[in-house]
Amino acid sequence: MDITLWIFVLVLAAYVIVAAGLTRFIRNSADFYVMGERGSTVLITGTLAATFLSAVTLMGIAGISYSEGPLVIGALGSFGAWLGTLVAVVWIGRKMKAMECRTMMDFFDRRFNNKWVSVVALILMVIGLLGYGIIQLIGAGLVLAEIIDVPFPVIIVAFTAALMVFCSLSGMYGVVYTDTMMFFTLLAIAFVISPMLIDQAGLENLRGLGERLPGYWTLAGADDRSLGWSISQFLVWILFFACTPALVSRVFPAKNDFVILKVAIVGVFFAPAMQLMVYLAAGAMQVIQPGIEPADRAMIVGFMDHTNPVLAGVGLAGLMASIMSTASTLFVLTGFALARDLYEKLFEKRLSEKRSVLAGRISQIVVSLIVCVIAIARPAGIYWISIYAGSIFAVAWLPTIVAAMTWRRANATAALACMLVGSISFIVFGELERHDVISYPAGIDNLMIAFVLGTATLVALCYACRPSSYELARYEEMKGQRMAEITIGRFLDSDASGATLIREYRRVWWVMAAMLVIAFGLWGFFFVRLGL
Amino acid sequence: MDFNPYVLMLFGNALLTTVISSAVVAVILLREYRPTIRRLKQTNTADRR
Repeated sequence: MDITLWIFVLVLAAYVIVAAGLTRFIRNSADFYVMGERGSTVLITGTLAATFLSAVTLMGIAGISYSEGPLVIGALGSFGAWLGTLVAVVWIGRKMKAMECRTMMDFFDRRFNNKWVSVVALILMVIGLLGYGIIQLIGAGLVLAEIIDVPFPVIIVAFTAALMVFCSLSGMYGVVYTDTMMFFTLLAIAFVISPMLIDQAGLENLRGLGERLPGYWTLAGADDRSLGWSISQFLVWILFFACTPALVSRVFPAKNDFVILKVAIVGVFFAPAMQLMVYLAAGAMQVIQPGIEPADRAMIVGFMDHTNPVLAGVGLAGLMASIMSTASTLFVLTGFALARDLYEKLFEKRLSEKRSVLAGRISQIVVSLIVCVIAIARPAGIYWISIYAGSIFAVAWLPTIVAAMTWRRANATAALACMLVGSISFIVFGELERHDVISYPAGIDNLMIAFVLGTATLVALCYACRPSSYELARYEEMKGQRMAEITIGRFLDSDASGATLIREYRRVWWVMAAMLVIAFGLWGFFFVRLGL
Repeated sequence: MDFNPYVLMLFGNALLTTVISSAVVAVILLREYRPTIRRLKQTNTADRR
């Protein structure tokens, strides 16, 4: 059997074995949905960073970095994604966890207690998660099928079977632990393979690419993109990442607030650290082997042809990790939405703990089967959905969530209208542009228009309609729910002297100081070598 | 020396991300935890006396 096929089989088997072993920890629904809130800093950092780094980074954006330059997306678009991740963790995720949400849908249910709001939010979430997840699975699966010379349907069946095992057997436990395993593989790509490729190319030669490809080390890149396009990328990524369930929900399994705060520093540090190392390595590939077509294979060519066989295997495992870590999170959340938010809450089924876990497991199997069938069939509709799927959270959810968290006047009518106007106008304006009916000025796109329309509708209806007594009561209650107070209370309950609390408090400061030193050192080094 | 402001922007933004996340966490620690930590330290010191 070919070595690449061995790696593929062994890596999948390792994830499945670990996830199967974790099944013994699932005793109730809290274990299944939020791993009993036992997530440590390493685990939550691992799942956050692995979910953040998808095949889009390793292939799509790496391809743009290879052909146009690392700054084209890296300088502004990715910066938006990093800041969006910070907002998702430290503000939205942390606040929702304080409200004891196990899924993001819990937030809509508790804040508004309105079936229409819940139904629309649920539909948007399922479409957004599945559309974004399946298209990534298809894209990366096609490349992987070519590398290891296995038919595409076999790859998809193997992936979805593995996902089915670790999502249905061990729920969030399986996803968080396997994500953390994948995180270490991705770290190997960022901090072992990428530096090797950069070293092979030589920093001077990498810097000299600007002479061969004018604009390579500028924001506009070798293709001379407009500044408006770069700003638009920044907005798209910050709005999308700030409220995407894939990132926000990573906070829910955290053990306490100190874990969240450490993840906000360490996890958010790894977002640029992993991405920029890959972008620079993609630039290095332009020195080592120009003319790779299609450009999104640049990193794969780097792994397979310019490292030793062991590292090529790690690179392949990393590519699989980038696909599976993002897909597992997206699909486990879709399963949770079907079991918990649709079946249990919207259909008002009162289930015992045991049956609740069973419903969760069945829905994971259903989601895996649906994903498998759609990915293999590749209907034209899925490509259409994918154009809008990822960004739908930015236009439909973000204004609603921000208003619901911060504004007393937020009400169900305004939330519902915002979600509908935001999502529908996003699709309508996108389709009008796609069919050349209208065109927008440079730097303006349908996402910005939809975001403004949705937000304007929300604000107008918040002023026009009065919040119900339930909404007012929930708002006041929500304001009083603080992660810090919950964490302080729990620590003092277990250790009245406060010694453990003080120790954890100090640890966060130490982590902060250490990460600031590392960040200054790492980015300072690259700036001096490439920018001076 | 051949200063490239775009490269500064790339790595500066990466650094800024850690600086911002640290600043946000520092504000949370100081506003939401420090009063309790100080109280606990004072109580512990008084107990020792």
